[in-house]
Amino acid sequence: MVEFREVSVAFHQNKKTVEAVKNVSLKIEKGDIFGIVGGSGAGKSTLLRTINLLQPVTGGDVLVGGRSIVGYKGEKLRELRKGVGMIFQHFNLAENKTVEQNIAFVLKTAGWKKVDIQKRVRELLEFVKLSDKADVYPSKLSGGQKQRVAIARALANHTDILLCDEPTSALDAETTASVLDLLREVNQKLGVTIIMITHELDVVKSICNRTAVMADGEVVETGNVYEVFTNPQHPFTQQLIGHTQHFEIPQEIQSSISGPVVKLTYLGERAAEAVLSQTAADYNVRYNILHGKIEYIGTKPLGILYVNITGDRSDVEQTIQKLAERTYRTEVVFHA
Amino acid sequence: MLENILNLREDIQLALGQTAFMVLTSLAAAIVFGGLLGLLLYTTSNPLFLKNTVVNRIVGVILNVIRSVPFLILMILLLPLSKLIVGTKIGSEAVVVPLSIASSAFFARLAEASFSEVSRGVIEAAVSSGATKLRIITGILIPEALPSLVKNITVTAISILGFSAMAGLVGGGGLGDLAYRYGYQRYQTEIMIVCVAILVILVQLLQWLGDWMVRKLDKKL
Ligand SMILES: Nc1ncnc2c1ncn2[C@@H]1O[C@H](COP(=O)(O)OP(=O)(O)O)[C@@H](O)[C@H]1O
Ligand SMILES: [Mg+2]
Repeated sequence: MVEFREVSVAFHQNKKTVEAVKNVSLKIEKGDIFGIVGGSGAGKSTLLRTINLLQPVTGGDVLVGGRSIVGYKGEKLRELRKGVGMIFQHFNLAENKTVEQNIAFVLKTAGWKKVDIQKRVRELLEFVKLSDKADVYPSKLSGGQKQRVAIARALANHTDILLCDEPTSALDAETTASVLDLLREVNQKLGVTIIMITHELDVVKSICNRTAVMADGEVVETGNVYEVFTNPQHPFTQQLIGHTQHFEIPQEIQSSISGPVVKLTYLGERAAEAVLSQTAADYNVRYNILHGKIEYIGTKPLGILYVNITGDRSDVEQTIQKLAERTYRTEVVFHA
Repeated sequence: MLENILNLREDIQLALGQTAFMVLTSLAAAIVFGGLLGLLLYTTSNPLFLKNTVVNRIVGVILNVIRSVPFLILMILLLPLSKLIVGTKIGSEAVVVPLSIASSAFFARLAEASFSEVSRGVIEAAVSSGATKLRIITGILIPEALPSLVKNITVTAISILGFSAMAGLVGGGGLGDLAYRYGYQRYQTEIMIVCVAILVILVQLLQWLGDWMVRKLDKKL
């Protein structure tokens, strides 16, 4: 659907050159919800904006629907843009237009007839659950409602690609979840390919199927979201993900325990129970659970457990070996 | 004293008519030409439209020159042009030409500022929808800038009213002229006070009208 081939973007400012995107190659398939994550200034927005040429590239090629678009101009470029919707962190609705007028602008642009416009607007507002807000001005809407209108506007012309630039970064957690639900619906019901950039890992975890991690203009890791999250390869990704999974063992526990603290990562909600009770019996060790949580990546659970193991030295060692065999990952994170 | 005023009723009416003519004609010219020049300044400075630094600088310098010449001098300098355009060098009609030019230059800068206030993101959203530049200007930029444009049109109208007081110098008449001739030259202070009072009321009315329209138009609050 969208392919980046060795794409580079450089900005020249006051005789300095900023390489915002360096040699990025990526392929986004039809039907994907593709998440591009990375810190602020990593080049995410710049990369995303090359897809509809809001940002020209300085090197490489961008293919949309199999066609190179980097040289598009005039009418051809406008036709491309009519098929690629975009939403933004700050919604960017016209303040002096009603919800209906905001959406209608896009349809008029695409040459729709007046009767069809009315019908389509109604249909879209129903889809984003704002049927009663057609004649309201954006200043009377909440952030989440504004983003819903923006989504309706972006999809109005039956677009099949939706670009999202930090769509939930200005929203609170609850509203974020509802906007993400809507985007998931857009993807599943309408078959729209979504390319989303965000600095929030939780967003990627919750709705993306594939992801690319960007740091300093480069894509350092890409793949299936579950794989990237459970088994990050690049140090930057490990650090990024480690942040959310890390548990700092409190000082008083560190000084009061004996034996090692082990971090277990396991797939599935209850996958650890069996192996813990079995090893406890087989090797005569005791477990003390310090911290545990289950994260959901998409709908798939990923369990994380911090346990302190006590018992005879050799029993403990054998236990750890057994755990390593039976869980997704076993790391000794602390040894008293 | 009241007698004096009553005697001059017709003169006052005439002066009011002349002032209204000068202000309204120049204001119309300022909205059209100043508005277009403001749009030109804005679009030539914005990469999302037709960024062109050369055109932007040249237009900017010309407008600044016009704005820096005191209106009295500008009026005298431009009288030959009045002759060319309206066929006379005296009277309210003649004054309208320099007045329109000065107020267009004045409003152009204000209009440019109004356009610049429109959020870049809103323009970008329209660009990303595949709209042409012309459609973005007419369908997004101008409607979004409208409350601010109206506010600046009010400011311009009140400034034109001030400029028009100097019209007497070339026989243009108007309230300012009447106040000067009777109040200053003939020591009929009451006439001056009446004229000034009418000017104050006009300014107030313009301000109220402008504020009322802005309130009607602005949906941001
Ligand atoms: N129009 C621009 N002109 C100059 N530098 C820019 C421009 N846009 C972005 N940059 C620079 O490019 C880098 C990447 O920016 P961006 O793509 O916005 O990052 P992100 O979206 O990941 O936060 C930053 O260093 C930023 O300062
Ligand atoms: Mg960004």
